[in-house]
Amino acid sequence: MIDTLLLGNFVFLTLKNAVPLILATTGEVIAERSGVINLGVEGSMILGSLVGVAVTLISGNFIIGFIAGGFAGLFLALLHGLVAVVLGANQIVSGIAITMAGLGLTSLLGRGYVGKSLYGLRPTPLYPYEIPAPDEVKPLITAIIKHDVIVYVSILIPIMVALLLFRTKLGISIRACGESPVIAESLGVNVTLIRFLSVSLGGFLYGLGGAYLSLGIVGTWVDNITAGIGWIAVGLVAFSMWMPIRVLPSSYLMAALISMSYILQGKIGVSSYFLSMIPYISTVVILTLINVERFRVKIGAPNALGKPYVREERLG
Amino acid sequence: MFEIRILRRYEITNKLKSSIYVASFITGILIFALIEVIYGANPYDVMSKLFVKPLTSYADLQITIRYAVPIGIMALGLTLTYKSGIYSIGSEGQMAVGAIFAAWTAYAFNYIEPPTSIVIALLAGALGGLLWALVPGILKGLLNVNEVLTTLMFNFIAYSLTDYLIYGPWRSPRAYGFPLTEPIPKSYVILPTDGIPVINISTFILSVFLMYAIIKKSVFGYQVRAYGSNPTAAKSAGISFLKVALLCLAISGAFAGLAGALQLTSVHNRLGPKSWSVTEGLGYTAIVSAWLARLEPWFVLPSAILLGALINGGLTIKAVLGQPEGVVNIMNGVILLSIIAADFFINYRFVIKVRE
Repeated sequence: MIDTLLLGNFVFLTLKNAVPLILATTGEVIAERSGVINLGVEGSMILGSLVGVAVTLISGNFIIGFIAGGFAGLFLALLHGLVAVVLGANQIVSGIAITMAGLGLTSLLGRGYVGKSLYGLRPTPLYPYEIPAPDEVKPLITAIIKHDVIVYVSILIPIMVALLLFRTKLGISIRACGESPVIAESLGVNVTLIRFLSVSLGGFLYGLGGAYLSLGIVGTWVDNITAGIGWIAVGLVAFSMWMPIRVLPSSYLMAALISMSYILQGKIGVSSYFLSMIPYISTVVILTLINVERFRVKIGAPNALGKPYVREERLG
Repeated sequence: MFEIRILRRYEITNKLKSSIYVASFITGILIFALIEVIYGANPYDVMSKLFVKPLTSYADLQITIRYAVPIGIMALGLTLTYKSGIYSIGSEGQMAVGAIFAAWTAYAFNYIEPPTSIVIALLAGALGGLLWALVPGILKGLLNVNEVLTTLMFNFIAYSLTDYLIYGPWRSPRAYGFPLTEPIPKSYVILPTDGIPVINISTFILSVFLMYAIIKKSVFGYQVRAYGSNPTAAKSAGISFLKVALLCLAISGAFAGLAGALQLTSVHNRLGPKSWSVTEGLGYTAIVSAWLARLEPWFVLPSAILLGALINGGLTIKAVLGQPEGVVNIMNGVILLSIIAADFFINYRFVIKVRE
């Protein structure tokens, strides 16, 4: 027999834990579709996380804090845009540097906020009332219905991004920059501008994801709050085959694994320190599997992914 | 009206090239100093604590070396991997596992006397780091699995492994409730000779020579450079990618593990949780050191000492202003960004034309 309470708890946690992953992975899909790898996801997320808490405390409204977190993530992504897109520097190293800067910046600025209570300011369930349902299914239904607005909105984000990428002119330009910047440029697309925009939009989504992590999941600010979620999101991009809609199932799978590492604590005879390795080991396993199956060849990464493009001119 | 044009440079003098690098490095430090000043530090204080004190006072020089040696040894391993076009960021975890292996050796063979004990501990550390890098290496070599992500995931796994040991089976009952292991036996502790950490410094210098020999004088080093400059050509020339990826990661892992063992035996003497950990985030600073050295083994020597001094100075400022550990991370990030942005000014030049 499955314990319905336990199952309900697991589903509840999974839906919540998926939100930062969905937002960050979708953001990275946009950036990578334009041909730019941004490994600053973790940095953008953690800054968004801190700013989310700080602004919520100041404004007294979690939606304002959430959006502010998005702009904080965007701020760091702008740096990546400047160094890796405009100046055409090594994208991988630039992203790593931005993550380092984000981690350092938050531990410096966040000291006054560690453990500060967000009591009464955290996102509240959309439907706060008791659910009339038979006892056997009640925990499960509650786990699905009793979420805040962001959990449901986050499901719409990948769909909106899919529409942007595949149904708009801007989307065609973004994908063209990712496949062949030279051809895109010859067709009159400003590659630097489009890539810069894509990286910024991505950064905004990382920041939102980070803000939900502190506001919605942890409920306070702690140093190093992201603990690798941003890097896992980068891994999920390949697992989602650079398709925004596929970000949903892959994020829910990873969120389920993360939730499992919490739920199983104390229930099976494995140390919690080993359980905490589950998300990281799963990421390695997933990255391996997608390469074994040779998905990369069938639905590949954008052709020009990671290749800097600087428009140059010759005088005369 | 002004018009700014970006033109590719086809030739550049070495003098201009090095001035651009130095200027970008200084820019990075200035940005870091600016952040500190905004945060409330006195600018004169910041500059003297970052540059003058860590390299002039005798006591401070020792602390600088305490950081410079592990940074340098790990950066040497990274120069090799980065030269092959493989972006490992796993030094941190490999260093942690190196420390675990060295600690295990020290507890298990506590009857061995120095100098044998020290040699065994350092070798065990190198082996630990090597093993930790093996899985990402095999996955990269066989299946081309993204090594940036796998090496990083292994860092997190190494943190969890350390936590398991210090909160679990290795926790000392005599550490006043702190999650620390027992100190390693005296026979495994490296002591400085007349106040100079001779073993640490000589290990570092030997590593520089060793890495120089691997990269510049061996056939393998040539193959690595071939992959770095043109992977397609290297592959068609029959150089095995599996061999290059696996060996690069294994060697850099061994260097990082060695650094971990060295820090354990000469500085920390026990394993501890994050704020007292053996690694102290130096595995990430090593990335900056490798790029700052332009991936040249010789240049790692000054770059590691510079970064060691900056960490030392940063920690002094941190202590004076009561800032958290993460300050060093800001410095790492800002300097790394500045030095890679320098490539743009080396490859391109601006021409400003005035239009009517």
